[in-house]
Amino acid sequence: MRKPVKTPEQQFLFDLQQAEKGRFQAVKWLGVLIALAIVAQALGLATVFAELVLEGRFPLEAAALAGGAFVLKAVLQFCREQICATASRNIRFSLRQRLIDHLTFLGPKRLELDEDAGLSTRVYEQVDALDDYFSRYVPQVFLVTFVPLTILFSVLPVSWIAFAIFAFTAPLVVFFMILVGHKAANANRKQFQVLSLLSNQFMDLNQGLAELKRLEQTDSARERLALTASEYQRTTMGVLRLAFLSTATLELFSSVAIAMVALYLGLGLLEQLPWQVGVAPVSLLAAFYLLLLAPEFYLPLRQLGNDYHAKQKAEAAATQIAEVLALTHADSCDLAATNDPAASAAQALPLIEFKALHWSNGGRVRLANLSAQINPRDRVWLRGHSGVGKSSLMAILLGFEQHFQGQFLIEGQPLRPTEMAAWRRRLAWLPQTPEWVQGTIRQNLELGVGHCTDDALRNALIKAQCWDFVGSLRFGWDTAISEAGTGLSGGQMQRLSIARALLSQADIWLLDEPCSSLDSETAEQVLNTLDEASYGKTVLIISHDTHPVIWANQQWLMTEEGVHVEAQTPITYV
Amino acid sequence: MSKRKPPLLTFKSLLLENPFGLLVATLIGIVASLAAVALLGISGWFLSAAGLAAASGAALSFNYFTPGALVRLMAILRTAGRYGEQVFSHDHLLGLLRSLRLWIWDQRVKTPLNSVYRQTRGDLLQRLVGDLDMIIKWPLAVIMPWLYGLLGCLALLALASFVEWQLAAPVLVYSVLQLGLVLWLANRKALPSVYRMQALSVHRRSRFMSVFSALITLTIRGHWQHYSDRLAVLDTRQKTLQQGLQRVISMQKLISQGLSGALIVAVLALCLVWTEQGVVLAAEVEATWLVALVLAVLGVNELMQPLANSVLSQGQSKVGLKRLNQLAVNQPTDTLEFGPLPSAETLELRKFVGFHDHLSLLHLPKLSLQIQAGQRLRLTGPSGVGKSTCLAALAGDLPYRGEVLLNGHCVSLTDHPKWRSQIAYLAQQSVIFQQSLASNLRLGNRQASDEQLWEILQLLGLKEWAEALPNGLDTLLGAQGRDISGGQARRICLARVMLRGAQVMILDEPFDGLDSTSIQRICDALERYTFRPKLLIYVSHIDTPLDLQSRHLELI
Repeated sequence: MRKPVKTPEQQFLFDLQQAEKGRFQAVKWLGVLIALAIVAQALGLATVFAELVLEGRFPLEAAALAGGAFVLKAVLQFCREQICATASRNIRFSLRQRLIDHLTFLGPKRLELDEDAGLSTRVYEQVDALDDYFSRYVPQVFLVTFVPLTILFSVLPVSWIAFAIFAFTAPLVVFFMILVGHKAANANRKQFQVLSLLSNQFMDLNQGLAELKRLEQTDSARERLALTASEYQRTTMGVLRLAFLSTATLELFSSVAIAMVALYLGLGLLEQLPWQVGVAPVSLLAAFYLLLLAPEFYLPLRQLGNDYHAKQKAEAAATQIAEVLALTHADSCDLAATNDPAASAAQALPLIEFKALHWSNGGRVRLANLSAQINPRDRVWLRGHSGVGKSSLMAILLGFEQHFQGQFLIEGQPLRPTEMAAWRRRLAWLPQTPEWVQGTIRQNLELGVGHCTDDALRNALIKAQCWDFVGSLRFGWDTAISEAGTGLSGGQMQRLSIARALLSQADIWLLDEPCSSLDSETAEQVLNTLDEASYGKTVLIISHDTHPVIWANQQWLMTEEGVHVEAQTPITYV
Repeated sequence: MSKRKPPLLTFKSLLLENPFGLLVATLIGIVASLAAVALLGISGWFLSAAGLAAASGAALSFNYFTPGALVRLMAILRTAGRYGEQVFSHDHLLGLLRSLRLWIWDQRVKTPLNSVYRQTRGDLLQRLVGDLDMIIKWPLAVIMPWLYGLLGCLALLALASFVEWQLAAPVLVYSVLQLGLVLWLANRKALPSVYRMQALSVHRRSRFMSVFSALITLTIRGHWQHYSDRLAVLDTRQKTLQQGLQRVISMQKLISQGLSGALIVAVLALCLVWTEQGVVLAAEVEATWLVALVLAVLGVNELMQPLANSVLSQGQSKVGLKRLNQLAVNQPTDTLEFGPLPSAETLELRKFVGFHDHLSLLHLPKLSLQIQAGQRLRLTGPSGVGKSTCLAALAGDLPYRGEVLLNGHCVSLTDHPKWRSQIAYLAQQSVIFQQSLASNLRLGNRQASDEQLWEILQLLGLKEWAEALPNGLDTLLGAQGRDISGGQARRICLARVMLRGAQVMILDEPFDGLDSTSIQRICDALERYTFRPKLLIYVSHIDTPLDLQSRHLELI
């Protein structure tokens, strides 16, 4: 048999399947036993029936065979289901853990893929969407070839005609299934697309709901929704009618084959077959045996038809999951250059030094030619238009990106993985939108710092000029803040992150456009607070030209060609 | 769509949504299921009768046409029935999807504006996609399999009574056990796990979101491991629950199979007599019919298998319904309760202050003013003093404290539909819908002609831009104005507001991001009769020619 070329999704799913190879192997063997039990049950029942009808006697041995096979089959199916489910669970839960670890490893880079909400869908829903594939589809693929073959060979010694009916219809079934199934697959995919289109439309209108209310157009929006939904129903049904033909074909073959076998056998028993009147081609026992096996012959195929959508769902999910795992930091590591002999005179060395730092990733230059140094207590204002590499520099400083060319030295030493934790503990990080977890203000301030005394907390809040508004809240610093914030303005949230930075005792502050989402007046006030709070620390602040950082003593202008360093006379109020 | 949905969704309302469609699908499904059972039963009877006839030498007189035709008929019915069932039930399912989406929309519209956006996008999307998906499958996954099982059992009962009246008893016991007791037990065992799993997954997601939103802070503080471990603990708990649930479902299948086996044993035991020659058939039982009965039991056994999965679907759709019902809003005040509103000749505010929530109320200044037809008013003040909040409350979007007098009558403006139809309000945020440029503009006035649209575009200096668009007015704009600039979005919103031709105009920063020519043109338009409102209240940080005719009021 020619192996079809695997798509990347199929390869991904196959690799996952390999992790549970043992279980799937066991499932195969159980499938073999089940196929044998089916044949044994048919044989036993047929004997019982034939003797009952012809002689009025009940053969106990045959009945025991049939009963035993029936029980065995049920128990085997139970075991098989359990093993499949366990395999699927193991695959899914370890994959999820892998995804979370990988996302952590990616750090800020994960946002290149999707927002956190979208990533959470991939980690949870999409991973669970693989369940049906591993617990039903994969085991069924084996059964679908093995069971019909077993039945075909057990029919062969009994009746040539029945064998011919089965052998002739089986390829037809497969042929039609592929033919119609292909259409069904396309239809399914299209349906997924249209469904997400519908959701988008709903979310779009929902997003503008306030505006629609203002314009008194909520009813027309409802009409729009109703219209597209009806349209969707109409077109989808058109496609589905065709898609269901695949199931109908299977049903038809299965039904017709049973009917054909029954009629052939019945007429044969009556010696009324047109081509051999007066001769009975089969005995009653054989007739029952064939009749009982006929539906079982098509059952796995029909089951596979039902589970076919599981495969599609899984492949769609696999694309999204593989995308996460495929995203890594570029690995053009240039470790040879990091051995720097001049590491003796620690005092004279700058705190942070970049030597011809260059980073390109996926053919795109992320950061070009940076040579500069920051001494302790320097406050650096980094400017430059968007996309020039300011955030990439932050990622390098935070230790999330190490595959760059050139050198990044901390007190004359390159950053080693073993020193990563110690280095990161010296950092405070203030991004554009402050990072908050669900909990009280206090819990958020203490996030990753550990318990602080009330005094320390108060000092930090006062210094960050949060004391007034935190005090005016009903529960003070025990007020809970949620995802959306609690009536606190952007400026107030940003001030709270300044307080958090103060609490952490970090001596190096990295700020990535802390004022960009604030209006100019608030931004100015926050910058003033920062001036006061960050005095005596080493600061690297990215800020847009509209929010000049006048208290910085260095100004770096970043362009595609490189960085232009310029001293600046700080204007500070401290 | 004059029929309004009941305020809460229930399983009953799902069934009654489109009873005819469901009925047709169910009836066809029943025919298909019974035909599947009958196909085996009749074939078995036919074979054994034929075999018997041949053995007793009566083959030539045996009427084989009727059973032969029946077997063929059942085969056709089964095929056509399965196909028909799928087509009709999916049509019903899609219809249900449509009306449930509209139901959600109605609830969203009824939600007061200041709490509309409390729902995060992800959460709403989850309800819209995930929960709906579970609910619409409910008739298909829960009700229909049970009905087929029931009718299969009834048919079996009829056949058993026909063969030998004593056989009715075990079949009856079997039916009650299968459709009642086993299902009940499985429900009892599985439902708590389903609910717990659902609650756990909500918890897990919010934990994920919360932890990942602080990823960098946690990483550089070295505490990430601790938080991510807790996430893993939740996941492990979910795994255990899933395992338990799977065991219940598989167990139910096993028991169901066992019961079918027991029924066959019971039926045979009742029809057999123990003699010295071995076990023989009781004299009054016809062997051919007994064979048909045993085969029919095997057929019904197949019908019972989907019932095991129905427990899971039942639990999931119950949770889905509950979550959807959380969106339901009991309309606090009916439309009729809003009294008539006088046309706005004079508007007086006394100690007026709008607010988002009660906490922020303290810091905002109270506003008292009077404005008459033909007058313009410009509100100024430092950033964050509450100008936008004040305008939003005045437009009825936000609640407020204080009194509003319209022509001397004290009125309430919040969410008042008649007030909304009198005013045109340009909010702080520009909203562009994923529709064509023309549809976006016509949201202001559905009757507006193309000429009117071009006129207003010209007025706002958008004409050249719109003419250069690939499809002109019919160009599709991206979601939330993703591919147009902020200034363009602002002007499209302003165009929409001006097209409304309302008597009262409330504009929040209408000139933001506009060049001086455009500003001049807009000011002229607002003075000209076409777009001239009776009352105009606006906030702007830019000085414009409009200020010459306006009163100024500074909020402190």
